[in-house]
Amino acid sequence: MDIQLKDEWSSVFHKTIAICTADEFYASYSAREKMLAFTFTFLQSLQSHDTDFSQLIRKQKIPFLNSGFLKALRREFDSFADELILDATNSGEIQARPFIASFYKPILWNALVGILHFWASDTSEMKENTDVMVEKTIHFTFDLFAPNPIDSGIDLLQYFIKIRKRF
Amino acid sequence: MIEEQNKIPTSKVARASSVFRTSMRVGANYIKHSAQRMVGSNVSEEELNNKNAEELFQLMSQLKGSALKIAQMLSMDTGILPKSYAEKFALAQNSAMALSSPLVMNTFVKYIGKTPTEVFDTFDMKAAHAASIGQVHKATKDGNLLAVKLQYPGVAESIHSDINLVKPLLLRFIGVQEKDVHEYLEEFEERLNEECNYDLELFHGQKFGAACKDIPNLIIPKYYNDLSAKKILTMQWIDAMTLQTFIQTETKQENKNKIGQALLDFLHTCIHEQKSFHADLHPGNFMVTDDLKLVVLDFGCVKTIPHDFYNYYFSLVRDDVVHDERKLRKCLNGLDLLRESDTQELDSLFFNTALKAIHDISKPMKSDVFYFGDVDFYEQLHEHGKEIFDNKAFRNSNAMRGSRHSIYLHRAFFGLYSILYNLNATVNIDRSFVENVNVD
Repeated sequence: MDIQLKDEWSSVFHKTIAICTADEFYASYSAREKMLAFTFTFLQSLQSHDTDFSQLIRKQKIPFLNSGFLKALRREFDSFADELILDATNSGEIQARPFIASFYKPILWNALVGILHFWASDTSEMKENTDVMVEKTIHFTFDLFAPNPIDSGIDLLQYFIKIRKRF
Repeated sequence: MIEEQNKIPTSKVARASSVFRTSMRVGANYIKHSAQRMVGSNVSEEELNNKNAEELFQLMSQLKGSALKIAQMLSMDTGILPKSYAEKFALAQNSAMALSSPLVMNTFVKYIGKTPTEVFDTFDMKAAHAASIGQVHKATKDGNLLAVKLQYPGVAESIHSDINLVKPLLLRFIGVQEKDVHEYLEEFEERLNEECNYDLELFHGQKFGAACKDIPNLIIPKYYNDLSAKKILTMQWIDAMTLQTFIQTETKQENKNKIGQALLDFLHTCIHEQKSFHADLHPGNFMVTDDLKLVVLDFGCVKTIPHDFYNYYFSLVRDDVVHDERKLRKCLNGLDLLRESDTQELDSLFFNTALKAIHDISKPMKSDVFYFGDVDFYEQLHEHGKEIFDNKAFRNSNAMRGSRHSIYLHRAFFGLYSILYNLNATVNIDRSFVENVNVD
């Protein structure tokens, strides 16, 4: 049962990636939009799959600690997230911060797990509330990753320290 | 023009706290006002209202969605809101969040089962306009230019809570009890819910399109059944300027009259022939083409008038009814302006006020040609509105008066009159309907 379910998760994941990459706009999206597109398509694919994923997720009482059953999915997602983060860092969309940057991937993963749990118990029509939640969560996450005032603050600080040394 | 989405405080907590902040500020403005008065400084009522309008406007524009709709609704009824508020709220249109393209895709897949590029030949992912509850994309199919309206997710569900959040502030502001206006709020909520139903809008658009096809200089866009769904509405794209721009740039009065005439004919045809009408007559819902045709947009807010109400209301235009006290009382009772339970004193107060109001409001319907640029006409309307608003006897008398059906009818007429005023228009009035109304 467990092994079979692992396959189901990965098959939905691969289907999602296939749908995304087949889309003519996807390649031109920013990382933020790619993550949004991925998440929407993923939820759409879960919904249309025969397995009742939402019931499966609802059974997990504590959302984040107990997501071991998602292990198979996590492995797949990690490689997707790696690529996304690398591209976005190169394009400057997200800030390469020493040490902190290593948490980007787990943060994205936890955002996805959070969304999955919200989705599983969403009773609104056509699960519309989840759509809103997805937008907000992912905007928030990527706003955290994006260059922000703290980065320029640290930059300024570093500059002053450097100048001081010279004088 | 279209703001980023992450700025919208959609969570209930965020909405609630911004409402709270504003009601505190409005309160503080009043305190400041009375304090300044006590020390003898000369602060006008108008100044205070301007300040409050600013605060209220800030709040409303932050909330978007249905709160914005309520703001617009109030802006129409110049009798209830002071002038300064009305001006602010009239501006409150066309600024809202933009959906990310993945969410646009997602909405299509959910409701139509295909991506936009599968449905249309071309589809512009960037929204062309934003409205209070949705955004408009440009698309083409089979050589036709199309406007595709997408509704923001979650709007329909938040109406009820939006109304509940804004309610206390509004009630305090207008100075009434909730139980007195309960019926009106219900009416608001009903209309707002209908506005989120694009199936219904499609139906109305097609219905009015057929009913008004013979009105000169009027265009109602074609609606596409098979390209629409509950949250997606596809219609003909028409290149035109906004009515606001037309009013500001057009110099020939005869052209303005033409547009004004089309607008009046449109509303009259809807009311008197269809017994249901476009109840959202603000300039943002109209456009003018280069060859001077008026384009009507957005059939989201349509009010149907019950038969009895129609007759009671429009009988008041007939001189023989106004001069026959029995018939007149019958109408006023039917419109809930007079009540059997009224004391002698209240009865005469309401009766006389109603008589005066009827005299003013029905003026344009009593002549064959009416000049809507006449400032005196509006001053009089405003004066009487203010008189009613300021009269304590009205506020203390049990409950608000007037049938719930009259809210949207008044709103439509106020909208019509204010657009015609801005057009400085002289229009012909078709009074043939007068023969068909009666109270007996």
